[in-house]
Amino acid sequence: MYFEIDSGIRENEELTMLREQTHKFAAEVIRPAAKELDQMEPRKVAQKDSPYFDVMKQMKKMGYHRMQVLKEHGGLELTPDEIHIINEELGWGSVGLTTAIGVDSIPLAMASLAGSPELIEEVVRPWMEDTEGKYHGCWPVMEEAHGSDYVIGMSYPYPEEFGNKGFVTADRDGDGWVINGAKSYWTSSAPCANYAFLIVNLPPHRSIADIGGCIVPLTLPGVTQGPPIDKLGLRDDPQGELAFDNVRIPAHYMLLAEPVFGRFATKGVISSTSCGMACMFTGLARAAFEEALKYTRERVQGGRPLIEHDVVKLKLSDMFLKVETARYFTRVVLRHVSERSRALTFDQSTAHALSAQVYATNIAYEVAHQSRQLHGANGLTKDYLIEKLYRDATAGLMEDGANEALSLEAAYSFLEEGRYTTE
Amino acid sequence: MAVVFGSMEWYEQVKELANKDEGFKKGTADWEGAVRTVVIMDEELLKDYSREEYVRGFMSTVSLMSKEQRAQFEGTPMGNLMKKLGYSLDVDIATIDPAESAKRFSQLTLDDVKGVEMHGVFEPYHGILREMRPIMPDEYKDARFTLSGPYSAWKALCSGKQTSVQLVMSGKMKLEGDMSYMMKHMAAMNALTKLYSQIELV
Repeated sequence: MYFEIDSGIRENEELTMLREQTHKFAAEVIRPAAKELDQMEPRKVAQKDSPYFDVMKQMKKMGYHRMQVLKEHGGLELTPDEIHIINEELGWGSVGLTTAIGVDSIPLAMASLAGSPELIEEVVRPWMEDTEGKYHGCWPVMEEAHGSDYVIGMSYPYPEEFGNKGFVTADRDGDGWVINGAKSYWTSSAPCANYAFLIVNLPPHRSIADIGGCIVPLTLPGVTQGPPIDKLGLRDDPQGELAFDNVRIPAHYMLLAEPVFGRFATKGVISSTSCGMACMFTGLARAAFEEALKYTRERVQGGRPLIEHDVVKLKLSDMFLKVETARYFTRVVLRHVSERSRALTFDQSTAHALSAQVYATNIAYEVAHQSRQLHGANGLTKDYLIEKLYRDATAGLMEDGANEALSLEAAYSFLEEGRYTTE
Repeated sequence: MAVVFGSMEWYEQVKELANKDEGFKKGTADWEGAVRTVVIMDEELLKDYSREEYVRGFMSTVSLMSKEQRAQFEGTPMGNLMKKLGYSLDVDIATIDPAESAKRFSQLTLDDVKGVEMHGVFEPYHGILREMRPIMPDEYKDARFTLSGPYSAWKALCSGKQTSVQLVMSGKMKLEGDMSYMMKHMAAMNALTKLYSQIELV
């Protein structure tokens, strides 16, 4: 376990207990299940008898899906520090399964924050009471034709350059909305979920900036869930395509029906998910660092344990620096983003949130690479955890958009928000 | 004291509360610009207005208009509504019996109130609510923002069931105007609509 430098957290007994309890869960439940899922065929990962569903059920019992939901709707409404601790520890266990519980809560958190009393009663309350894993959410955002476009399209001054085709569209039809189109196979948990907070393109469909968002039960007629894809990393997070063919939803399931607000609200969602990713990948980076510490203490080369070589110490020091800076940067960003997101004031500083994700995923990849190098050829085998961590860290460079796209949007965001002045 | 949403008493209570509420002062500290409000009559209004106290509240705002101002409603949905209720536009409001009017409202259908709007304005200015009153449809046409929606959405807002941001995001209310300014000053909007939810409604 790491030394917590922030005395406010270190000396807080409740937070310390939360960290220990979550770490135990990550070590005893998440990590072994993730290892098993990592080596399974993708199709089997999404089957009902897969350990995936067993872990989801256990995570629900722990209340991880309720972290961000308002107390008045049955949620836990945890503090940013509590959320940070849980996400780092679970990410230490495995980012794939942590992503699954993270996206599970997006439809819930959005319905809780922006939904009508009717929607709260229909969806949020029963979901909150579910400890059996009957409900499973996801957040389909990218289309195959556009990939990371949606990230940059939020603040880019000329969104029409991205074209107005290839989106999942929502159109008014009587008392409800009709949805058409397909989300790409990068949608986390799509093959297993039964609810989505779906990002859609709204009328007049001028450009990518006409963003909306709605709750869609995936059991509705016209929804097709594709099979899980076979991929390099995060194999314990089943991803697949979702197609919508004239899917009708009632009007109160449309949470973001006004494009300007939809764009700002989506920036809010992305800011929250980016903070989540930042915490999880800090956990992954720490796991990779700890694997390096363990291995270099055991492995003897040149007549003494690797760790006794100064060149190795220097590498470890560099890894330590990265993990620690990620933790404290992501924690401060999460505090701000959580507070402002709950106030629904759209001033959560998307630039900071995206930068936190870019920073944490970059250092996670670097630390995993350094750790794998220190493992020598052993680091290439499935006998060592670092092999999986390295693959997962690689996938982290393009979570919710390629890091380059996230960085570009961060730049557009801080220029648009006008908070960074030189006066 | 519980008041009817949109009545003169309601406007007065919001104004009084705003100018002593620290949250409002802080939230609107940087705000400049008027917000024109439009309440569109709907089924929920018909249900409410079949009660005497609601009609009394409605008449309290109508009574602010001069006969000349009321004459401007001739041929408009509001003018037609008055006719359907059995009143001429130059009627002496003081002579209207709220109980009888409530009865007449209860016999109306949605078609009878189609397109009928009630207008108001609020204008915070650097922490002070300097304007908050019902207005004629042609007033404040150049307001920085217009917030409009059906009566049921306004009631959800004023009873604290939903915030203005939630209602606009979900399309139940419409906000038009300088959106980039609004996005940077959302705290002001939240502060004002939070005040609304603190007024006890009938």
